[in-house]
Amino acid sequence: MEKFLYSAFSKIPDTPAPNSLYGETLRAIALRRMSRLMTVAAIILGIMFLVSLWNLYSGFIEADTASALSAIAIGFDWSFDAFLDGASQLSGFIPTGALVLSLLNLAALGFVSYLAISLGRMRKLYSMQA
Amino acid sequence: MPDELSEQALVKSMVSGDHRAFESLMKAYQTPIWNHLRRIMGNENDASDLTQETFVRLYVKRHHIKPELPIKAWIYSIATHAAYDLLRKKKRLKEAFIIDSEDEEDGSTETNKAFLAYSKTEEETVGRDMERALAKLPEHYRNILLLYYREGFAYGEIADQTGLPLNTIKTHMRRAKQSLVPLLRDYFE
Repeated sequence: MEKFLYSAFSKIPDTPAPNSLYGETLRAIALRRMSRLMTVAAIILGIMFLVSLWNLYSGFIEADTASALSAIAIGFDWSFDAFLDGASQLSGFIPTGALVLSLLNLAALGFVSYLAISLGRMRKLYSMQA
Repeated sequence: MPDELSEQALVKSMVSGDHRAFESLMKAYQTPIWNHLRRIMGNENDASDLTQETFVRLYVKRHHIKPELPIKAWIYSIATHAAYDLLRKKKRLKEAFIIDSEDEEDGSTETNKAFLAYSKTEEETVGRDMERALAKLPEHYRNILLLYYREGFAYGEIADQTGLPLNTIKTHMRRAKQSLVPLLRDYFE
């Protein structure tokens, strides 16, 4: 019986794998590598964003922005000139560099997160199509 | 399939990070793995998904592979685990595949076309009858019979690949053969 089984199993016909399978597998591997890199990039950018927020907060405390806001609010009159004057006074108390840095970090984090999610969706789509 | 020496060299290169070595190994094993998974799962779509999953897992784990051990056992082990993971998900048992019924033998479904292309020599008839009989067995019995009789793995290697004890594999093999014999009674009379 053993001899028959070995012989019969060796005669089970093979069919060719789909032509697209090789390319799809390599694509799935490339997407996996990229989505891991994107995830690491998103984590680093997230940390950078938190640090820049802390830097911004420290800047606000140092410049005593809260007191400046209260002082401007006292006797504030809802006119265009008052707005301009208030904005000009406030700009001296806002750490502009730190604010711009935080906004840029937030934009970069948002963009990389969007890329990472898109790559994850592409990976799922390719594995469904295989 | 590359010979043993060149295969070992490819594996060493792959472990060192050579992507082309990985692609060469993938080219060599893709079709045999796909056919093996097709026979276990009973359909080509699952076979394609699992083949892709097998090589992705192999790529991710490549740095942990010991180049001195046969890569074939590694690849079949990953494929077997991937198949069992999917089967556990789907909880499918004893699904007939390839030819769903005798009436479809001359039909034109995609999975039957491979058979229609073959001429009816005695050898091919034996192979098709064996595949039909295997289709009626549970996936696990199918898997261990194929790993042993077609792929040439020893009981110990099958135990490693399936994660089951050696004595359990021997018991399952005995039961699998007992289930197979009545399905091929024409050949044993």
